[in-house]
This record gives sequence, C-alpha cells and structure tokens, in this order.
Amino acid sequence: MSSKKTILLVDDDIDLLENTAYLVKSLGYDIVTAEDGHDAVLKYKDIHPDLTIMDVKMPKMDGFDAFFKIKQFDSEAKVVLITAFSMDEKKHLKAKSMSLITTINKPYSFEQLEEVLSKYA
Amino acid sequence: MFGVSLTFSIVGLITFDLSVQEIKKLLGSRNEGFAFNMMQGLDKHTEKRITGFQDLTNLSLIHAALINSNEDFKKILDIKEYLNIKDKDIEFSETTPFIGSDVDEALTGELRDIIEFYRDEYNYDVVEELFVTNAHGANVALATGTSDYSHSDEEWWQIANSTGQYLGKLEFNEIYDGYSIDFAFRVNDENGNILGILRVLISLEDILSEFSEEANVISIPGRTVLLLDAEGYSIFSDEKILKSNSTVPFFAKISQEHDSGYIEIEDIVDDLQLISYAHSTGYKTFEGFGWTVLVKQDSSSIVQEFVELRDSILLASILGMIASVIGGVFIASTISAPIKRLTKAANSISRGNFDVHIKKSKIDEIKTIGNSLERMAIKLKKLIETEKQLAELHVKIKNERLAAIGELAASMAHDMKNPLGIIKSSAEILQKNKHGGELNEVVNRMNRAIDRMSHQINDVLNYVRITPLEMTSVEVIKLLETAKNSLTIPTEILFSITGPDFKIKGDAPKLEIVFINIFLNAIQSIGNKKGKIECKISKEGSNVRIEIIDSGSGIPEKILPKIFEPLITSKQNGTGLGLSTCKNIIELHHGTITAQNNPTRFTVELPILS
Repeated sequence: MSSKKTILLVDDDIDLLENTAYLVKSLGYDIVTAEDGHDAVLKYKDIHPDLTIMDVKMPKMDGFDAFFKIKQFDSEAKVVLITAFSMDEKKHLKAKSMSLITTINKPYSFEQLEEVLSKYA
Repeated sequence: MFGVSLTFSIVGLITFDLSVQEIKKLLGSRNEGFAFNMMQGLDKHTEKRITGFQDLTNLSLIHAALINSNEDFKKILDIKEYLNIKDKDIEFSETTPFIGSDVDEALTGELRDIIEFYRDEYNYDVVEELFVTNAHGANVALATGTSDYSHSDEEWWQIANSTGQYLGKLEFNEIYDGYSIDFAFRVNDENGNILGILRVLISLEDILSEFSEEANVISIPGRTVLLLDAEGYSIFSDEKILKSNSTVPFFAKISQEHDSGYIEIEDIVDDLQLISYAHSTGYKTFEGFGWTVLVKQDSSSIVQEFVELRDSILLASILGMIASVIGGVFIASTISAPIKRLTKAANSISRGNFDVHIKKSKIDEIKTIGNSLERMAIKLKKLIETEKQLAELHVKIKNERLAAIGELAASMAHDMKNPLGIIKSSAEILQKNKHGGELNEVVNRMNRAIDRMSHQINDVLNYVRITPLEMTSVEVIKLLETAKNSLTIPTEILFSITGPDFKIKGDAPKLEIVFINIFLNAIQSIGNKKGKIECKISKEGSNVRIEIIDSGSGIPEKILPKIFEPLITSKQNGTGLGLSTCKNIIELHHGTITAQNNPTRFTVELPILS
C-alpha cells in the first residue's frame, strides 16, 4: 500500500463524481469511485478506504443503506454522507447513531471538501 | 301600566266622591236621628210636666178651697170693683200673706209641699211661680213667687178660663232671673163648671234638663246641638240655655214641611256644614211649642269622619298600585321578557352564534317572530356552513396545487443540485489550474452565479421540506451569533445583540434559518450604505422576545400585510419563500413572528424553556 490515503467516492452522477475525484486527487489522495450503493459496498470490502464520501440519493442502494452495510462489515469505517433535502430522516438518525462522521450539503465547495478530507481521512 | 293606574285613580276619585256623598247622607241621617230623638224627649218631658201640674187641678183640697172662695165672692156685690181695690192695695207674696179669709192657708201649704217635692226631686227650682185663683181671678193660694191679687183681666187667665188650658211662651222673667214658660189650667167641679185657675211658671232649666244632658253627650268638637223656638231664635246652643237676639241665618232653609231632615250649607269661609233638624211634633195631648232641634256638624268633623274612609281609599290605591306592579310584572314576563329574549337571540345571530333556541311565548306575534328568527338562524347556519366548506375546498385545492408546485419545485431544485455541483466543482478546477487574467474574472462571476442559484435552491427546499423538529435546549444569544456568523456582514453595518440570555427549546439549525433570513433581508435592505442591525432580547411573560431592528429601506407598505405569505417578495432575486419558511418554523416552535415598519422591525417571540 502506498503512503497515500485512499478515498472512496460514491455518486451516481458521473460528471460530478469525476470532477470531485479530480479535485480530491489534486489534493494528493488515491481515489476509488463507485456509481451506486451496491458497488460502493463491494468496493469498500475490496479496498478498505481511509474515508468514504458517499452521496445519499442513489439508485439501486441509497447512501444510507450502503452505509449500514459498510458498518456491518467494518464498524470502524469512516463515512461522510453527502446529504440532500427530502432525505429519509429515520435513516439519517439511525446513521447518526452508528457513528456517521458527518454530513455535507450539496453543492459543497472545494474548501468544504478539503476540510473534511484533512480532518477525517 | 299607566292605564291601570289611571283607571284606579278615576275609580278612586269616583269612589271617593260617592263615598263623600254617602257619608254626608249617613251623617245627616244619623244626626237627624239624634235631633228627632231629642225633640221627642223634650216634648215628652214637657208633656210630663204639663200633665203633672194639670193633675193638681183634681186635688180635692184645691176644689174645697176654691168653692169656699167662690162662695165668699158671691157675697160681694161688685166683684170687679172689689178686685180693683185689692189689686192696688196688695202685692201678693209669700211674705205678705193673704188678707182675710180669701187666702186658704191649707192649700198654700199643700202647694208648697208640691214645690218642695219637685225641688228635692230635681235639685233645682222646677217651679218659679205657682198659684191658684178662684173663678173670679182672685188669688187664693200662692205657693211660691209673687203675683198680683187679681188675674181675671190677663190673657192666660181668660184663655184658660175659656179653653181649659193655657200654654204660654218662653219669656225672660226678671224677678227670677231666668227663662220660663207659664201654664194655666182650669179647675173644674164634677159638672165641668169653673172653680178657678191654677197657674204655674216652669223654668226653662227644668224643661231642658234632660235635653241638656243629651246635648252634652252628643256634642263633640265640630258637632253641636241647637234648639230653636218657632221663630228661629236659638234657645239652646253651645251646651247652654241662652236665648239669642237674632234668628239663625239658615232658619229659612230648613224645611217646615218635613218633621225632620238635613241640609247642607256653606258658611262664609266656604266650609261645609251639615245641619240635621227635627221639628217638634208634640207628645200625646201636648201639641208642642213649634220648636226645632238642630244638630250641626261642620266640615272639619266631617273630615274627621272621613279619615277612615280616606284611609280605606288610600288602601284601595295602594292595592291598586300593587296590582299595577303585579300587572307590570305580568306584562314584563309576557311581553318585555320574550322581546328581550328575541333581541338576545338576534344579537347572538349577528355575532355568528346560530344555535338559538327561543323560548316559546304565549303571545302569537312574538311566537311568530321567534319562530322566523329560529328558521333564519338555521338557514343562515346552513348558508355559512356551505360557504365555509366552499372556502375550505378552495384552500384545500390551493394547498394541493401549492403542494404539487412545491414538490415540483423541490424535485427541480434537487435535480439542479447535481448539475450545479458539477459546475461548481468545474469552476473550482478551472480556478485551481490558474489560467490567469480575464479567465479568472469569468470564473469568479460563475462562482457568484452558482452561489445565487444555490441560495435559491436552498430557499425552495427549506420551504418545502417538512421535517420533525429536533428539540434541544438552545441559548438565544448563541443562536443569533451562529446565524450572524453564517453570513458575511459588510463592515459598514454595525451589528449588535443586547439584552439578557434565555434558553428556549427548539431545533437550532431550523431556528438559525429564521434568523439568517431576517439578517439577510436586513443586510440586503441596507445595501452598500452605512447602517445598523440591532437584536434586542427581552422577556415578555413566559416568552422571550427577540426584536431585530434595521436601518434599511423598510418593507414596501403594499406587501407588509402579506409578507409572511409564500411567493411574496420585493427582491428581484428573491423566491418569496424565506419569510414564509421563517413563519412555518416559528409556528412549529409555538412562537409568533411579526413585522413592522419605521423602523423596520421583526419581532419573534418564543416560549422560554421552563
């Protein structure tokens, strides 16, 4: 394993995912991307990233469910969820109780992203 | 009620008037009775006296004496001459006894006994003068008083001689210092031939003795008894025997046709006097003197008699008034009260309470009004309920439409987030790669546009998103500070928070949205000028009051009343959802939010954590 920290970025919006990946990469992290929850869980199990930044609203499996799966697999997993309004509050509360690190709002700024990465990664 | 009272008054007056007449009649009749009885008593008493003395003429002693005297006179040739001589010579008196055999000592003694008897019996002088003459008028026996010797030439002697009896008139007798009446009775033998004449002078005191007593009893203040002689002169008045020098003024008015009766006269001072009278009708053989007994009652005593009557009228009036009051109450209960109830019902309807139940009145008209009022209330209620339902339906439709729009807006806003995120990150990548020069400015403009869009999207989503409150204890000052810190406040604007800190129960992030909105509005209102935003915290009952006052341009008056309604905005780039969201959030916290102008002031009140 390289010394670089690995970040798992999960978003169903490919353009946004790629842009974000580009920015994160420019900050000196290794990037693994996933395009849905299911994919994210699989990738997590595979690579054990230092930090997972995952969008909540996704097809197949949403961010929360993916988070619960990841937590089942690795209770130490560090996950930041990109929340949106009109999200499932119950799941949000449940996630919080399962040591969800934090949430960030869309559209997030580069500075916000940088702060989260430096803090938790 | 007035009518009832009036009727009572009129009835009272008529009753009073009738009663006055009745009382007069009653009093007149009663006094007439008194007068009649007294007159009868007087006549009876007089008759008793007359017969008493007439009985003396039957005394054998008198007969014997007179026969002797007459026998003696037969011897005298010229009796007339003899008598003349005697009359001149002798003053006949007790102290100057009879001369010669003409005076009968025994008879004189007998007559004296009789006078003594009367005096003992009555305790006063009944007889002023009593003597007997023979058939020629010569005095035979003098029991009391003074007398001439011969009386044959006097009227009484001649009348008694011819008719057997003489009734004299009331006269004042100076010798005896009193009024008296003289009587003379012929003394007859068994064959009816004249033996002599018995003369008696009876004092008025005696004749009126019983009368006086009765008069004293009857006389009360305001009621007096008078006795008039045949000419109308008063013999007895003011409980005294006194003959007046003039006739009573109303004597002419007293009817002579009726034996008794009463008249009403008005005296000088316009006072009413009721005069009852009874004429003498005689008793047995006594024909009477033609006297009249009067019972005079004046108005003051009549009034006295009226007191009871007046009291009874008063009582009737009081009863009348009580009846009026009862009548009034009755009217009030049957008319006024139902009308009041109708008024109350009408007022109730006008206030919007249609559940009126009007108590049924006994009066048909009121019942009709009441029924129609009830029907009106029911119809109005139906109408208003229909209106309400329609209005509710409208609101529902509006809300549904708004909800649909809201959902659409929310999904649009959300869907825009990702593309916006891509633009934003792309802009950042561009910025990072430092192309320099003009491109940097382009990127900055892009970033500003992204911020604006982002803000508007948040507005929409804040409004639409209804999530449960996450209640925690919130410190007001900290809340305001956090809200302030999430904004970039231009340096020209002076921001201050004053007042004590309070803790409230609330959802901090949501409450922050409220104050962020208010602060943002204030900042935008002030613009690039100098200004200030003051937050004043105070306690208002059990609430904390937060006033946010800014020196900005204020809220356009036109939209001030609707400022908390959705989609109302004065800003070019406003959504009109900010303050609407604020209101929603504050109301979820059981608080209130109001807005005022001059100076622009938003007042938020929230319950203090107890």
